Amino acid sequence: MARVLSQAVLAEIERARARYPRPQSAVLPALHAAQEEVGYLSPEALDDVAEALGLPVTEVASVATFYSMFFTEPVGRHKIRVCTNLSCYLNGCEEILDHLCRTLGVRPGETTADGRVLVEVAECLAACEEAPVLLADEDRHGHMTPAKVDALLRALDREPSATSPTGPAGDA
Amino acid sequence: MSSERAPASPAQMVHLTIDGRPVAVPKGTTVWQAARQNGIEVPVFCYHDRMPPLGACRMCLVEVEKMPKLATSCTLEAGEDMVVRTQTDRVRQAQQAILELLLVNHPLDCPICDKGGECPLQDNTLRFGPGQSRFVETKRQFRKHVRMGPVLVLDRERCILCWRCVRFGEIVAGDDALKGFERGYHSQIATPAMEPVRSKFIGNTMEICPVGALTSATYRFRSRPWDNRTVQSVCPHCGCGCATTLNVRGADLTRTRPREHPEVNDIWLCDKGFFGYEFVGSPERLRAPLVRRDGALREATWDEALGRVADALRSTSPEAVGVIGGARSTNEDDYLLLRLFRGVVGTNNIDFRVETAYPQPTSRAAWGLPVAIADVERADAIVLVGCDLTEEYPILWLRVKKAIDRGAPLVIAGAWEPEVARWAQHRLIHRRGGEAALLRALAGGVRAEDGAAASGAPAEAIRAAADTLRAAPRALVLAGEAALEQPGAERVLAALDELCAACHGAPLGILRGRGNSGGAQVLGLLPDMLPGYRPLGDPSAREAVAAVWGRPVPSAPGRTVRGMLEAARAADLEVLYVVGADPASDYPDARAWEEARRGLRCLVVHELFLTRTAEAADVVLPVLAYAEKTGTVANIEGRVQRQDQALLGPGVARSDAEIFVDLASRLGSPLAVASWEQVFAEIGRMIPGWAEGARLAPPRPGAGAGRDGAGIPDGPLPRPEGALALVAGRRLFDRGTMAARCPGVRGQAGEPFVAVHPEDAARLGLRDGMPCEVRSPRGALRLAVRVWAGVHRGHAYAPRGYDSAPVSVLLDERGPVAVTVRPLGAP
Amino acid sequence: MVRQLRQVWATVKGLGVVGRYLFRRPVTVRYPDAKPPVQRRYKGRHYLTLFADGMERCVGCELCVIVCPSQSIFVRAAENDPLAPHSKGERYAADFQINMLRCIFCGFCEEACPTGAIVLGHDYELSGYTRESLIYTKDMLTEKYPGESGRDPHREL
Repeated sequence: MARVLSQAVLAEIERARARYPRPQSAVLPALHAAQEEVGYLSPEALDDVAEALGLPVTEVASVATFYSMFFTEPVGRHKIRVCTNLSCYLNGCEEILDHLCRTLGVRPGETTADGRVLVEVAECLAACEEAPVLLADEDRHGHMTPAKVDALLRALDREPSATSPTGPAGDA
Repeated sequence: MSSERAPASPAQMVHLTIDGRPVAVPKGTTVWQAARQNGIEVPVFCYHDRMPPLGACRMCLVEVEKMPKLATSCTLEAGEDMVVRTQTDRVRQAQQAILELLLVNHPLDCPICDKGGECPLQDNTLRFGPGQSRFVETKRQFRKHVRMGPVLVLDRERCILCWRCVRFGEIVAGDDALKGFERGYHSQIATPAMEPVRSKFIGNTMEICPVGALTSATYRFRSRPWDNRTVQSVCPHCGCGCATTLNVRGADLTRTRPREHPEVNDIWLCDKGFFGYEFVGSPERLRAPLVRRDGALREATWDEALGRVADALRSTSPEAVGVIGGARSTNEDDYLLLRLFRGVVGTNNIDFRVETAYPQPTSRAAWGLPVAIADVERADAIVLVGCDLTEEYPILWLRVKKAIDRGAPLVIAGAWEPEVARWAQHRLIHRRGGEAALLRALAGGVRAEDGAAASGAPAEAIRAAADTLRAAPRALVLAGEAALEQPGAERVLAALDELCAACHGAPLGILRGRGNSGGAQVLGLLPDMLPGYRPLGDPSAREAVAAVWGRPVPSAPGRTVRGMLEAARAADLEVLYVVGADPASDYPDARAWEEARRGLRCLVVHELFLTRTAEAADVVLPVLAYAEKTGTVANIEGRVQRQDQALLGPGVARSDAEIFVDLASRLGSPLAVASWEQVFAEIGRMIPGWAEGARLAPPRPGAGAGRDGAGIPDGPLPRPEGALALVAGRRLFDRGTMAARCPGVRGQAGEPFVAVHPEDAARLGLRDGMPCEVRSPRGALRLAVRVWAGVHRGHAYAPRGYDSAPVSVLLDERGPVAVTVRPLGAP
Repeated sequence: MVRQLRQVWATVKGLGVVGRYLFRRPVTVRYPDAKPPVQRRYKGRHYLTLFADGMERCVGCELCVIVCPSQSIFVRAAENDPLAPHSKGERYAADFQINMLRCIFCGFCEEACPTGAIVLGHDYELSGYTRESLIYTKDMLTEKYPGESGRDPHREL
């Protein structure tokens, strides 16, 4: 009775569920799989995950809102997270964030009007030696400069992103 | 709780000092409990003694010697030689700091908060708080209040995140209705997308919320705690008889709250109990007697109305008089009913079981629980057969949940999946009519494969469930209406006996009956029983009753409800007297009722509202509701409890008892009755052990026990191509006579529907929410389709209790019915 | 002799008082043609005050009810219609009655009121021919225009 999740994702959720003695343990992998497919965790996606795991939807939704990497509202296909913790701050993350926001015309936490990129402020990304650091979808980029940001933004749509099911074609 | 109260041997005791006082408590007791048991109050917010400790609010900090920091006393287990101080400056400072921090984001809008005046946060702040806040910044803001369904109002600004409501849903009710969302500063209590909360127990979260974050939509702004008069009462809805407290302001019933009764409802109540009280004050209540004149019901005086009833009773032979109902009256009302109709009129045509067309003799299958409600949680395994527990007896579910938490497996058998199926270890969803075969297979009387073939439940599941049950030394078998309301009920009963025997003699509870059915049964509002479960056929029992009444008791057994309706159709029954019942809506065959009504010369109805039955009556007598009279009632375990009068009745309404006494005088045999206490005492002369608080358990199945149900085949229901077998179930929230007039219940009930399996829906071209026509050989109803995988294939589930669409229109007293479900608008 | 002289002296003294008051302004007020003035803090009949925008200050909290020593106040609250609110916030007093026959004009209600909604004004002409007429209802108590009571609602806040 799944509404939005494909059989492949449901199978993936089932595999995750089989790995643990309690279905609660499989909530995070299941939510990741669902978000990857839908782009965000819509109410229907949460219902499907809950049904697939045999858990109350309240519990699944509660977990989904707890973690910052899950989105319960539509967001950009690409997610850029800029670290603003101490090391990055001392190495000029503000300039990077500023440049990124100005180039894309958004404020931190917002998605571009075309639904392409979400810019977020992140806490420590555990790569202080490369400060300032940002995370573009699943890839970490260190020693960032405004020029490298521009290059990154250009490259973003060329290769299919791990978190974007549509890939470059969808961004045209 | 019980383990804490259990006497412990000295070796299991630990000795500690609290505030200089030597204290000995059983091992495992927390410091907070130890302090409280010794009269030392330590403030708490998150801890609640019906749930395990959490340690979220930090309000219960105490100083413990040799511990560098203050410790939360609610999570700290008392240890030997521990030295605890609860009143030191350090503790006081910590309490003040915690309260100051809790109040940082609390709006302090006590003047407009319904909790104001009974709020633990107010009380604790006054007693332990700093008195002043240093916080001058803007407080956290949310949308001021959110209505989460018809009964719950959430105000997140007031929430102190104690987690009590969340844990109630997880631990006590098992419905996970509310959860914590977001985190850190943004933490809040919510449901996904702020949808209406889905729960049958949400009223309890309002009770245990230590602030005004969760409040009731029906009580909203109606009263202040200091305006309310409190009156002890008993919930009139399902048969559990939960102890309640009514709050009354002037002539206004403002709310119902649970009253602690460890043996029945503990401290909980279901939402029907919480919000199902407003019908009492409905403007539609009948205010004066109605008498049929020139074909229409018109207002009349009591004298005229009762004169007419007395004339009808006088001019009819006793065998042609029948009485239906009594399950909504008090025991005293019912007893006087018996004295009037058995003693004065002289008929045994008395039956309170309005909602069954297949009555089994009480000696064979008495309704109710043979064990105490509190004992349900001590069972090692529980089998639920044809009983939708949270819809029918929600408070019992809380006990079953405790048993499950202790590790007891739950086995469910039924034609549809009840809400609690998630908690069941074995779910046997089967065809209607396959109960007996399935139960016998569970008992090991037939092979699992045969049970599977006859019932449609998978054989492996049956075998696994049977193995589970065999391993439980103290199982409990509970059978409900859905399993027994069918022509093969005798076979099902025999199979249940077989199953109980196979489960090491497990007790069998028959979960049927609502309101004061327990009282009506023990008093013998039955065609073949006398008070105290003594059979009418026993001459000595009749003698004993006659001795108290001073009048003989007729010896010929009377007719059941079905028998009375059949007799009325044959013109053998002329006068039907209905007491607080609505057979026109509730008897499971509306057409049979209509035909019977046409055969009656006189129909008398005691009612609160102009129900379908009352509309067809010749005399309608307005009576008092449960909150308007004092008396006793008995619940499904047979426990006798008192309910007190909280209000005056509307207009000239009288109690049932007053009417019976008046009628007896008019018939020339006055009943000397001065008060309900006198009647109560007289019942005590007839029923040994009769006392307030006593439990008069229904007898264990006797007469028919051991009768072999084997050899009677389970016949599959013959039905036309494409038709579905109709199963009718009860819902906690419905729109019956009383519930429809309680906004909190009515709103949660939603519109009536028919549920079909997705495969059947696809075959019949039905989609969720679509209007459709459900047609049986007896009649047709328009309902909305609900596609639901929980119902067995080939079946259609329709809820009872909707007066606008009574499923009794479709039902047939002669046997199961098949229905066709046709989308409306389609050719 | 001394005694008689004293008596004469007392008479003269008494006449002196009469003489003195003969030339003073009289204290008698020709009530009801003239109204005697009251002190600024005089506690007379109650008013339910309004904000300058005409919204009711009362939120129906019933603190006046619980503090009232003579139990002369009755309040029934209700929820505001967000589109046509009576007061600011969720709650307002749907019904507000004060029994002037029971009231002892102690002013506790004014002290307890968290919003300055109830004030005791300067009217003291509170009489009637029936008991019912002395149960003041919400219409009678509510100011006809903001400031009618002549009292400062913020005084206690």
